[in-house]
Amino acid sequence: MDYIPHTAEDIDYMMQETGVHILLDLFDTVPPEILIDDAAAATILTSGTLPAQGMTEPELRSHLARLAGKNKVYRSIFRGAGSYWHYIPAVVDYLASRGEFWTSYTPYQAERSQGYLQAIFEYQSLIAGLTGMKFSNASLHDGATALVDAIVMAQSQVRNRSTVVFAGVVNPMYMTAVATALRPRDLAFKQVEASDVEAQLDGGDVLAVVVCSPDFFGIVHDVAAIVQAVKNKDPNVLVIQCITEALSLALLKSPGAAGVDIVVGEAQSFGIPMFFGGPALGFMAVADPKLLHKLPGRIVGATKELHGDRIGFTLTLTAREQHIRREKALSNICSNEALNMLRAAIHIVALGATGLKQAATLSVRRAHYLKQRLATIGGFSVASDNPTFNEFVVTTTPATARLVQQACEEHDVLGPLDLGIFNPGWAGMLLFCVTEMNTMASIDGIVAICSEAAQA
Amino acid sequence: MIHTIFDKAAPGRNAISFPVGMPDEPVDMDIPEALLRDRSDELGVPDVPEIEIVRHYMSLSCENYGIDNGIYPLGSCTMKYNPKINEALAALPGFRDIHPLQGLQDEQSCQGILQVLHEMGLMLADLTGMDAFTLQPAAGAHGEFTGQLIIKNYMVQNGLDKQKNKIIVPDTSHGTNPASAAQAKFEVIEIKSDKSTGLVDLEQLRQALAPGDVAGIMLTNPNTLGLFEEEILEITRLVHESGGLCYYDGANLNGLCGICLPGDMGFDIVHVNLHKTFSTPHGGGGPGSGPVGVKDFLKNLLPGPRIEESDGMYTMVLPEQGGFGSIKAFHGNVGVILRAYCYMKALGLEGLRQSTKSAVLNANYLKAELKDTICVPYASRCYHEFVGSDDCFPNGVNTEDIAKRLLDLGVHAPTIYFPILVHGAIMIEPTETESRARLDGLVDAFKQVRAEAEADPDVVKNAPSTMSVHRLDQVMAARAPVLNAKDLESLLGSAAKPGNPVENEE
Repeated sequence: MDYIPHTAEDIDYMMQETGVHILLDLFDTVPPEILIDDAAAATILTSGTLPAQGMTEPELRSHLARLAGKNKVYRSIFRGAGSYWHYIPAVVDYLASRGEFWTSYTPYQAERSQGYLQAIFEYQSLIAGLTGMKFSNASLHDGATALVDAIVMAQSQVRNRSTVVFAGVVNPMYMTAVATALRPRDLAFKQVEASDVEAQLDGGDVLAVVVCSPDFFGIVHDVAAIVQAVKNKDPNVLVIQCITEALSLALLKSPGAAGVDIVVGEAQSFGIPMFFGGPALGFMAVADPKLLHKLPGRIVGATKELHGDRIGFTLTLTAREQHIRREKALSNICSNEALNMLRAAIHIVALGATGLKQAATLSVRRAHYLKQRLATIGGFSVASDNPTFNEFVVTTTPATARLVQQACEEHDVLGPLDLGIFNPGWAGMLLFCVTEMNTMASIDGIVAICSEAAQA
Repeated sequence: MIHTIFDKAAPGRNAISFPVGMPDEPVDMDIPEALLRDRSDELGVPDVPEIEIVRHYMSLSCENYGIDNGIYPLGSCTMKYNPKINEALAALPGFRDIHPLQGLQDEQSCQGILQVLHEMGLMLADLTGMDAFTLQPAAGAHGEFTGQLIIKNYMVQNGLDKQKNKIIVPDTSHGTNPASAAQAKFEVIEIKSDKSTGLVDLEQLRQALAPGDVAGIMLTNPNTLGLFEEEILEITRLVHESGGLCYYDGANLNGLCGICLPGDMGFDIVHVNLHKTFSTPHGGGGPGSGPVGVKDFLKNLLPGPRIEESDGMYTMVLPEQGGFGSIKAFHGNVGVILRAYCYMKALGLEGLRQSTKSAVLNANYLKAELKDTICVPYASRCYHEFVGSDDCFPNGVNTEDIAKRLLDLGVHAPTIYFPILVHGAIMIEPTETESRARLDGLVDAFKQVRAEAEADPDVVKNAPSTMSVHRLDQVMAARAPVLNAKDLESLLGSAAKPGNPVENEE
C-alpha cells in the first residue's frame, strides 16, 4: 500500500504538464548505470526483511501485535538506571496527540505557530522553576547528550584547560557517551569521590566539575558544599549538575539554590513512556546570562508585534545556532525532542507542585522502606550510609544476585539491575529503584524474593 | 493579554494525586533537611484543575498548524502525511512500557523489539546500499555528527588524523553539515557551487583536494536546490582517490529512495532521517531518528549496541563490550524507529518506489505551474523539491512578505532564505502525499500573492493579518530576551522597535 492520493487521471495530467511519458523519466539526470529500473528493483532486496509488496493495514496490525506480544510487560518494575517507571496522566496522551502539535515542525513561522511557541515558553518557565535557574532551552536529545553539550559549552567558556572532574558515580552509559562524543577534543576525565573534588583542582587544568546528584547509585550529594569548595579554590571552574531522575527536583534543594552554573539531565520521568529507552528528553538550564548566549538548542522568547501592541512568541537568539553560524556554531542540534518537551510540560502541570511533591515523597519513602527491609536480610548489605533518593545499591554475592533475578522473573517482576554488566568490580551489586508505581504489596513481595534467595 | 498556564493556578486543585500506601511502621526519609528544598526555593509549578489544563492546551493547539491541517511545503523537511496506524501500533504496551535494560536480565523478555531493531537495520541497508547500521542517533544532525566521528576515528586508526583534518562541504549544504563536522573537530572547507548549474564545481573540488589534507566530503543528493549531482560518480571517485571518505546526508533521500542507492553513488557513510523519508511525525521539532549506515570496512567503528540474530533468537551486545562507544544513553529513539518500521512494512519496496516517483512528480508539477509566478533560477529537472526566488516580485515585496501572506491564505509557508546561494530563496517540497487539488491550491495561493503584490503590495507587506498576532518584532525578542513567564510583565508598556530582520531558516 502507499499514501499517495492521486488518481490515474491526475498522474497522467501531471506527467503531461511536466513533459514526461513514464514516471521513471523524471530521474533522467541520474547516471543510467546506477538507476534502478522497475524490472531490476527486486535485486536490492538482499536481506529478506523489506517486503517487495507492502502489507495491508490489517496485516500490519497483526504483525506488530505479534511482535509486541514477544516483549514482556512486567507487573512491577524495580529497575531504573536512567529510565523510570512512572505514572502518566491520561491528559498527557490526549493533548500531546493533537495533530496540530504532533504533525507540525519547528515553529519557524512564528505567527502560525503561536500555540507551540507558547507551550515551549511555558516549558522553559517550568524548568527554570524546578531547577531554580534563570534560563532553560527547549530540549536536547537525552540526559547523556545534554551532559556532552554542557561540557562543550563549559570548554568554550573556560578556555585552555582540558580536565573534567566527575563527582559522584556517573551513569556508565552517560560516561560512554561523553567519552565517545568528546574523543576528538582530547579532554581528560577523572571520576572521584565527592569528598575529593577540591584536591583535584590543584593543577589549574580543570575546566568543569560535573556533580551527579542523585548519582548512579542513587546517592544525594551536598551539591551546595561542593560548589562552595570549588568556587573558593578556583572561581573559574564551572560546576555542572547532572540529574537522571528529574522527579528528584520536586524534593531536593534546587541546582540554582545550590549555586551550580549549568544543570542538565534526563526528564523522561515527566510523562514520557520508557519505550525501550527512547525517545527521551534532555533538559538544560543556566543561571548566568553570559552562558545564555552559549546554550545549545532552540530558545523561545516573548516579544511584541512590529506595528502593534500584542504580545507573541518566537524562536530567538538564533545567532547561536547552526543554520546561521554554520561551522562556528557551538552545537549542531536542529530537530530536538519537542513533542516530549510538550508531554513533560503537560505532565508537570497535571501533577502540579502538590502532585510532584507527593510522587517524589512516595517514591523516596517506599525506597527507604525497601532499603531498610533488605538490610535486615542476612547476606545482603546496603552499600552506602549516604542519603539516597529513589534508587540505592545493595550488595550480595553474584550467585545470590542471579537467584534474585530468576525469582523475580518467575514472579513477573523486573528485578534490580545487577551492576556487574557494566563493571566486573560491581558484580553482586544490585541497583534497586522504587517509584510511586510500586505498591507496598509488591515491595513486600520483592523482600520475600530476596530473603528466599539469600537462604537458598 | 496572553494567558499562560501560570495564570490558571488554583492551589491544591491539581489534576492528579496518588494512592497513599505507607508502610505500617512509618519510615523517615534519610535525606538531611539541608539537602531538601525550603520555602525560599519554591518549585514554581502551578496546581491547575484538569479541565483548565485541557482547555489551555486545546486552545494552544488551535493556534498551531500541522500536516493534519493542510499542505506544509517546507523545503528539505519532507512534511509528508504521518499514517495513524503507526501511532496506534507504536503505542501497544508491549513496545511502550518496556524497560531498556530488561533484556539484560532475560533476553526472552524483549525478543519482539530486538527483532524490530534488527530488521530495521537490514531494511535500511537494502535501501541505501550500506552493509551495517547503528540506530542510536536521535536526529539527522546527531547522525551527521556520528558519521563525522566515524571518519575521525577511521583516520585515527590509520594514523592519518593529524594529516587529514578537513571536511569539504558545498555551499548548498544544510547548516547542520558544517556544524557537525566542526563538532568532530574538523576544519570545514566550503566549496562554491557552479553558478550556472547549481551543482558541485569539479574544478573547485579538485583544488580543495589537492593539498591531501581532506578527510572527507559531506554531500546531500539531490542537493538542496533539488538537483541531482550528475557528476556524483566522479565526485566520490576524486575524494576516494585523495584518501578521503564520502558521507551522504540523507535529508533528501525522499527524492531517490528505492530508485538509486547512495552506496552505488560511491558513498561510504549514510545517515537517514526516519522522520522525513519514513513518515514519522515531526512533533514540532522532534523526536526524530537518524540511523547511520556504513560500508563493511567501517563496520567496527559504528557506535551503539549491536543486535545479532541466530536461529530466530535475537541478542543485544552493549557497546561497552565491543562496539566503538555510544552517542547517547540506551539504544536509540525506539518509539520513532517503530513507526518507521510500520511504514516500511506497509509500503514495501513497491510502495516506497511509487512514493518517491510521486514526490518527484509533485515537485516537478508545482515547478511547472509556478514558473511564471515566482522566478525559478534552476530550470533543469528537479527531484523532491525546487527553489524559487522573490527576484521578479514587484513593489519591493520580498520572500518574507510572501511567506507571511501565504499563512493568511491557509497554507504553510515554504522554507525561506535557504539555500543562501539563491537570493530570497523560496524552497518548496510538496511530498508525495499531497493531491493534485492541494498542489493547485498552493499554486492559486502563490498567484493571489503575486497579484496582490502588483495591485496592493501593503496587504502582502503587512501580512499576516488573520493570525492571532501580526508580524512579530524579532529584533526586540533577541535584544532584550524575555524567556520566562515571570518576566512577561516587563513587555507591557514597552514600545515596539522598528526594524524587520531577515533570518535564514532551514
